[in-house]
Amino acid sequence: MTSDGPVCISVINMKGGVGKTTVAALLGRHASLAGLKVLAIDLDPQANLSQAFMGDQYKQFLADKKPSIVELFNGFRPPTPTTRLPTSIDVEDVMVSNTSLGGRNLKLIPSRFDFSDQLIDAVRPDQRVLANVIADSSEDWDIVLIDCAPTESILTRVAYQASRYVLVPVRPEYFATIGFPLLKDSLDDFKGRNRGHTIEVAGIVINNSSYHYSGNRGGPERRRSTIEIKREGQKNEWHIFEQEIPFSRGFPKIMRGDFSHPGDAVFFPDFAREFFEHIGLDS
Amino acid sequence: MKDRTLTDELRLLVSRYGLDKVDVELQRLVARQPTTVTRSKPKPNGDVSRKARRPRARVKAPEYVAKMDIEGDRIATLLALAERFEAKSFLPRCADIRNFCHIHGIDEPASKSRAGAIPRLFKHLAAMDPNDIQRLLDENAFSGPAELGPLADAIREHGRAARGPNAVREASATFREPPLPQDEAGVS
Ligand SMILES: Nc1ncnc2c1ncn2[C@@H]1O[C@H](COP(=O)(O)OP(=O)(O)O)[C@@H](O)[C@H]1O
Ligand SMILES: [Mg+2]
Repeated sequence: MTSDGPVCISVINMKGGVGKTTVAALLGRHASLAGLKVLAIDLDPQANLSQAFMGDQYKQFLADKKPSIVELFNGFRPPTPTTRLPTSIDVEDVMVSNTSLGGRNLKLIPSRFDFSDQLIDAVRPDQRVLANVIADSSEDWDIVLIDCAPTESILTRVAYQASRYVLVPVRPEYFATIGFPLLKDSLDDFKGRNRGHTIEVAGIVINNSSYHYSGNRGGPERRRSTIEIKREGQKNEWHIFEQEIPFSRGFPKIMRGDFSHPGDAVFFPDFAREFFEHIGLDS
Repeated sequence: MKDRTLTDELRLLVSRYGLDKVDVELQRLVARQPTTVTRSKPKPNGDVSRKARRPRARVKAPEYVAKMDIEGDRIATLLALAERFEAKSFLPRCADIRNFCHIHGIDEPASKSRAGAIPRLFKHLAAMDPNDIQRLLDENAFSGPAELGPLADAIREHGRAARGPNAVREASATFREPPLPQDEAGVS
């Protein structure tokens, strides 16, 4: 077993619906089942990653007012029906483990969709909170995966602060690369302000997330955009992964905890293996 | 992995003839098929051996657990899980059992039925850390696919409490389908 050591990766694309959450969740699951210790962090106020991992438990989580990333940022738990003072927050309390999607080796820091409000309300949200949390528990993980929101915000900075790599899923469609210059600028700006921090794009993964791209349906449009993605990638010296993620109705099913008929989603590990090898992690 | 080979062979064909030609040829083949396409081999009629077999009485999970040799402190949790298994609120479907085995690194049961999986499942559960069994119970884990309706309700409820009546909009965006590309959405 050779490995370059524990690593933190943010799954980012300034576009929505490209498969960030799907990729983050399934990479987490893959790593966990391979025996790696995984921390998955939901940085998207939409909380899709949390819902995917927790399924029906997410209802209870909301009802019980369990702590989430919101409380991690606030640094305390507000009073609840059972506690009548603000209480200190223990990172362990925030983590959800043993989910049916993530398995035994994965822990999740869940999100809530009042997260963005809370950050806007805060005078100066500290973009290093998450990096600190990870640093404090760094011995517990082989891999940390952060699922990001589709818009550039303070949360993008929060993700960068913790990450060594950025993974970018794209859909092979017209406009696929429109976000690339934005991402490049945003990363360059971050690097300029944080000179001691090494962060780079681990690569672009083509995710055929619509049936329009499967088989011949994507047609010349699909081929053109793939060429475009490769050209724009090369321009920025960003790696493009060989393995594409196939279209499969199995993906949305798995994401809601339905493991029957995964279809072509069974090929996801082809990409996962290539990705882990590329970043120097044995899975 | 039969599908894998098929994919590889198709890739080969596509690289040799191009996607369009292969696609056209496939469409042609499909069109020529009789309307009732036989997807797999039909089962042989009159499977004597099966008919001759006496139907075995189905062992229920709680009965199975009750007969197991387990220490006193974990029998109650295990029985409770067994009850849930019978009520189909724990591992309600075969696919959930497969995933459970996958996640816990145990071989899938050979049996295709839920009942047939009981021995392997409960032997594994009995050997688990009592705290972990209790957690399965407390958190109502492995209860099958998430129901999106109640989940959306819970988010809406939480949203109202957290930030007033406008909170619902974002919640409805959860698990959305990808939007149709312009050219397919009726714009020609
Ligand atoms: N390869 C794929 N095949 C089929 N559906 C996919 C695929 N990838 C993603 N999806 C679906 O597309 C939608 C958007 O994916 P998601 O991962 O939530 O994107 P993002 O996090 O970038 O917004 C979801 O409904 C998801 O299930
Ligand atoms: Mg997402």
